[in-house]
Amino acid sequence: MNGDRKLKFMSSVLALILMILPLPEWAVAYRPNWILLVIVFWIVYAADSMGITVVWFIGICLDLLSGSTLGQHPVSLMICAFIIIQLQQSFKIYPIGQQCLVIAFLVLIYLAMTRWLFGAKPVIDDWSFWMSCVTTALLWPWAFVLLRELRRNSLASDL
Amino acid sequence: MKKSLFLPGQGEATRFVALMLISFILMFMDLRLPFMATVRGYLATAIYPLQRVVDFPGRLLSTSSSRYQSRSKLQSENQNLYTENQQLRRQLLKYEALVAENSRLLQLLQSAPQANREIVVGRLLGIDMTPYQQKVTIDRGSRNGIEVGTPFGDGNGMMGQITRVYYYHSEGLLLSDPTHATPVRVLRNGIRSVAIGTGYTDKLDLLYLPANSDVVVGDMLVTSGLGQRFPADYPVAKVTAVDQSGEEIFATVNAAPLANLDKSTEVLLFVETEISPDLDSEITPVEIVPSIETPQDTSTQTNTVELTRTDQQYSSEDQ
Repeated sequence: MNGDRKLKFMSSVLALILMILPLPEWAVAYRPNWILLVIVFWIVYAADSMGITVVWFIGICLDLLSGSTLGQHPVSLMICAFIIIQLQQSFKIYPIGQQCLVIAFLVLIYLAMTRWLFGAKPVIDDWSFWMSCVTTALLWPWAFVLLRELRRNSLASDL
Repeated sequence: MKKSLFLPGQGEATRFVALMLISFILMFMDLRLPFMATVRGYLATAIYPLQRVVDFPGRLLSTSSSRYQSRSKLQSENQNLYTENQQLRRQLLKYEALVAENSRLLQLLQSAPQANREIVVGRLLGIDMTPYQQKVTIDRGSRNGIEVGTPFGDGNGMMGQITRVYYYHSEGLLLSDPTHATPVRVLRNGIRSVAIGTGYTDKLDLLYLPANSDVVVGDMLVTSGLGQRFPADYPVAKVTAVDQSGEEIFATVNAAPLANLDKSTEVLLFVETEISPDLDSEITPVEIVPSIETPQDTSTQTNTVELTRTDQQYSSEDQ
């Protein structure tokens, strides 16, 4: 259990770092939503401890790091998290392709939230704004396998 | 059936609503209440280590590349720097005389005292954090004297101004952000305008230039000093396109920033140190000008002496 919590903390911190890592200008819009990947994994596979409160806290950290209005990221992230909590039982038995589609849908909601609800007009206003939902969905299988293996190892070493 | 949908328990739904409300209240407070800036400052300082971690790979790369360099490359670089230094020193001789003369003339005109600015060198920790704003994080904060509104630039020109200050670091808005406006003037003839960011790092829009105004491609734009944020007469951009053909009242003019907004990793912060009311501190800008040969110093002193004399003459005339 302890190893599980440690892994959860480490993966969240790593995702936060990847979210603010400086990228070249053309690549910014393609940045995968690492935070959402991590949150989805922990909600689906360890629902008992990754609650909505943790998601809120991660969102606040993201606000502080990226300099946006406090409360902006938590709202978008919590809505995505709430959807995945509703879906979690069926999400586990979806084939991997369908899981990717759900992830893409979540990122789409996330982007729409940041864009319309908070009047955050994107600087580069073309189709590339929505590209991070493709990159995030493509990354899901790898992130999923990696986190699952890490979790297995940490759980095994706990025993 | 319904219960199985809310597997983590019904408490999750109430918690969701409660945290949603808290988030909206936080947003309201952060936008409207001034004391939230200090709260935010503490929180952001607490999370600052994470920002350093982000910077770490880049720093590792730059230190290792500076450590492992060939001897011949270092020698040629040293030679280049030496010649450049010689040239700059020659220009500086003239510059100091001009500064002295300028401040003397300003004093004669009884103009407002100029602010002294000290230059602090900082490193960029983060660039362009989201696709809808052009912000940077700089590793200098309130402990280095940075304030909200402190302008920063690189060796070529102005880059932007500081919008939030924390203890160890600060956030700056780039010139190219769509919400940023820079008061500028054309160096050649002094026409004033406002340069608005477009979101692209190589393009600024110039506003309020009448269709018949004398602006041509290649004109240098410098800060006008209006608005009292940017110090006057620092280079900002070069005009790249002028369109005066339309029926509109204003010309469409674009300019490209001189600073490398998307490439610079080191920035110069122009920190305001004090307002210097008296002439002596005007004439000796020690922070910026490195010491050069003594003859120049004596000439500045004589300038001061002369000036005090003229001052007396003026005052006697007044009486």
